[in-house]
Amino acid sequence: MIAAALLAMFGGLTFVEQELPVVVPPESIATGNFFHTADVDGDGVPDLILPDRILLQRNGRFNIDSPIPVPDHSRSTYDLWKGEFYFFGSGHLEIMRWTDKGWERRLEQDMESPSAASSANRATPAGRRIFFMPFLHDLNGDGVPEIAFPEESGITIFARNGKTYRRVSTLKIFPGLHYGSIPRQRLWPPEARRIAFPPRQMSCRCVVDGTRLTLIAPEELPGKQVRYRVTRYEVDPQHQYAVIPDKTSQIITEPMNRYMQPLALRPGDVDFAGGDWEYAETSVLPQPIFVTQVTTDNGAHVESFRAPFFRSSRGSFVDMNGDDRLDIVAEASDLFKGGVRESIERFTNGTSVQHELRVYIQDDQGRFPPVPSWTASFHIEMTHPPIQNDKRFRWYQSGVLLDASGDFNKDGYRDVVAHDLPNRLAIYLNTGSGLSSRPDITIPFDPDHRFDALDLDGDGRSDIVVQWRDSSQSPPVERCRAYLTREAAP
Amino acid sequence: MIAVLATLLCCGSAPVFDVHSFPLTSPDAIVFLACVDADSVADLFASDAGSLTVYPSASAYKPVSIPLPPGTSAFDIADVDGDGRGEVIAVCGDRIVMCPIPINGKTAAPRTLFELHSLLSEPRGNPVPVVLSVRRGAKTVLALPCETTLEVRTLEGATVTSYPTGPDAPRRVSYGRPFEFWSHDPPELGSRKALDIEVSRVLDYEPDLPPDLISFDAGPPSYRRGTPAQARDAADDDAMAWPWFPLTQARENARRVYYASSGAETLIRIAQTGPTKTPGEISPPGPERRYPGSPVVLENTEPDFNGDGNADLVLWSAPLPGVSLDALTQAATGADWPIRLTIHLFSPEKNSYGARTLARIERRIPVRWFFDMQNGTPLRDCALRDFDGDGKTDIAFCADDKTVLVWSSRQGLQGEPMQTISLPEPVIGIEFQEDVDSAGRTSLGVRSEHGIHFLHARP
Repeated sequence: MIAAALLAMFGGLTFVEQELPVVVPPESIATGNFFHTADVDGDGVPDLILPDRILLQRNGRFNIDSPIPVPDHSRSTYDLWKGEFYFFGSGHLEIMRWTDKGWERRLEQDMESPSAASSANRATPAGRRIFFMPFLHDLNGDGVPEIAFPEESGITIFARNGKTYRRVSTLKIFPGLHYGSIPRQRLWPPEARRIAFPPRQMSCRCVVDGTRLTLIAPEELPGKQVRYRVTRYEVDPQHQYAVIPDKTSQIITEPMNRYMQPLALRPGDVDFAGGDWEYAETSVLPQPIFVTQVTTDNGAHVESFRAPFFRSSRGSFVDMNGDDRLDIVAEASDLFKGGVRESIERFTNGTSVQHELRVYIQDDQGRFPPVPSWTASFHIEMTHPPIQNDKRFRWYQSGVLLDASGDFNKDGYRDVVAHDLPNRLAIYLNTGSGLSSRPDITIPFDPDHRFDALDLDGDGRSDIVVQWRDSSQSPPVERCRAYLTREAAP
Repeated sequence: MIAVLATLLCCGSAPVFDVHSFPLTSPDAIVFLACVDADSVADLFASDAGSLTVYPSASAYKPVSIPLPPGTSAFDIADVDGDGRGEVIAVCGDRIVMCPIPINGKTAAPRTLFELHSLLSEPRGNPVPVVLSVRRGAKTVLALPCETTLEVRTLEGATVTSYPTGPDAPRRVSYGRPFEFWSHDPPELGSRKALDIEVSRVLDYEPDLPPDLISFDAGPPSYRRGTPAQARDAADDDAMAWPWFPLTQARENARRVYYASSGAETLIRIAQTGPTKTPGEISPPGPERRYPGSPVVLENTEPDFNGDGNADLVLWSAPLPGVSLDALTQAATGADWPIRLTIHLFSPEKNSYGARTLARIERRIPVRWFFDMQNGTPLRDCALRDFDGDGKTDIAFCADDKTVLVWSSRQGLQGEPMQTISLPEPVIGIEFQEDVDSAGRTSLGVRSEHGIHFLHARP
């Protein structure tokens, strides 16, 4: 049943609450690779595509009572182009569209595609009938998508020729297999001596953007360092998408820390960014410091930003001000502020943490200021003192109580959602120069629920998706609820 | 030259280890064991910056240094010429070079055996020890992995045999997915409409080689270990999702010990993989039992303190500090905090761990280790092995940065340690745990920044 309710009306926004009949793996909610939206029925409003069904959007809600079943394509991947589903895999391509009469097949053909079979080996979670992976791209700008699909030998381009697709080119641009490093072996005892065949491997990042292809290949170096080989290719659609040799260029970056990953900090750029944590050596108590690093000149200059906080997988890079450049969002905790006595008191008796968001806005030269462009402070209530290390504190440590990726009022500035009290979510709207000191919107919330900010209904405003385990059922089931953002009527 | 001698303190009995300390030229030095003579006792080697130093056991660890040929990427230590002494076989680009080890004072120039381009040809930082020398019947030959073959050559470079290992080789085995790709959505590189694809490819082979050459040792069964956070979160999940370790080394009819943390207790459930089950199928775990403390689960270590072949349970716990802030501050700013290790033996009859503890070790360790746990425990450099060769697991761990404590099952796993080893500088880690004399006694190689400390298990 749809449980829709006008939930809040603050800051010109309201939220419509709706249960979603879908099991969302906890890791999927974080990756955002679970929900997709597209106008499936052609009514001009995006609909919600789930792994096993499609929920049409009607009157600002998703119609869960009459879901559209999706055809079983669990052994292939799908991409979307103007409302049409392209199912590609296992040597097969099928293009389908949903109409008033049901699913209509627009094209079905066999494809010469060995690696499409490989992709079918992908572990498909139970109940998942379709699997999204972008592979459609209009390389030649004629409005008809080509298929760019990786194979062991390179990127293969399939182009539409009349009614069907055919393979036109395989761009053998992937680096060769190599030993990442020669692993040392045991030379003793004699019975442990074995000829080793360490796996040979290759990894790279391939970006297809119009007729330009960019290949970024890491080369591991001693001392937890890496350097990247960045090769840019131009392909010629008039000549079977062949690489134009004299338009190929390559750079090799300076060595950098291995946690640095390719990321476009500026549109169209290949920059590198990442982060890792360490313990401050100067404090009596081991104080975790998260170090964020960025470089916009291939490692010639690396900027570092340190903040006292716990582990984070990579660091946060978000376009906070809508200028298409990624900014740095660092987080700092006051748990270790002051002396040993103060820290211990917070750990043993404190039930709240003062948490700071530090935003470093990137300028148009690709530089970041040495001090934060603005900061925002949040008072986060715990359920128990940190020393008890309960689930809420562990969530705080892992950074899931705060999200700075959503834009709820569609003004181009990223807003912040904080699970600041065990029983509420607080939304702070970003004015462009910071956040208000008090939450603009609050939503009653459950301490055991997890959230993410996603644009679920495709209206350009972020919504809130909530996931939790319902232990009242036997066996427990994962549940999901959406808070759809709407502009409040004046 | 022995640079430092560790200080030993023994508790009224013979020490478990003799300690020999050797200097290392840099933190990147590679320390390993190999045999340089015919005494079948392992000798200690250190390799760094193009130089190899051997500390032969037969000559009281008097060091001998050998410069590795420039451009060496990999090397082996083996008696390839049958003179009863080991030689260095080095891969230097495409050259395969033999360097005699002058352990008796005699020196000889390195000699290029033959040239072959192999997958080891490219130098990559510090040269690493790899197995190159193998016995084929009565002969010693060299095996070198190449692009599409494993080349087995005589010392003169003549081909003995060539095993295909490339993409068309028989018995190709891939672990995991050999070719994988996924897309970033939305793209992190390129325009908003770009395809941003991650690609990875791994080729792993089990070539059709004779049994003495095969690369994959059967080894102990692999198992699922868990981080402390995983063990904590696991308690809310189905027991089959918990971390586990094998109860025995048996590959068939084996049992698994599933564990999870719940507050200050460890939950244990034991599951059977019976012969009636299909491969990989596990019976539902048995009843849940609770034990005070958190588990100490070390990689490739199933401690067996009574020698019955079943892994026993080792738990650690620490007293919570009092409520007084002054007491807490004093504890934190002080150097150490108590830790207690308890051992519960497995009872095959009851198919569970006993509620009573076999032993209890109480020591104080640095407070900061509680804030930076490794392997799920604040213990550092912990070894649970049989040091004295009695078939029962003994215990060693660091009491502080520079002190290793040792308890022997034979003499009691409680009270004062049987041996206290004070090292001249902070311990970085345990480099090796090996039975160097082939006598059932595990010796330890303890690494510090500028030295390797060889804790040689005494007879």
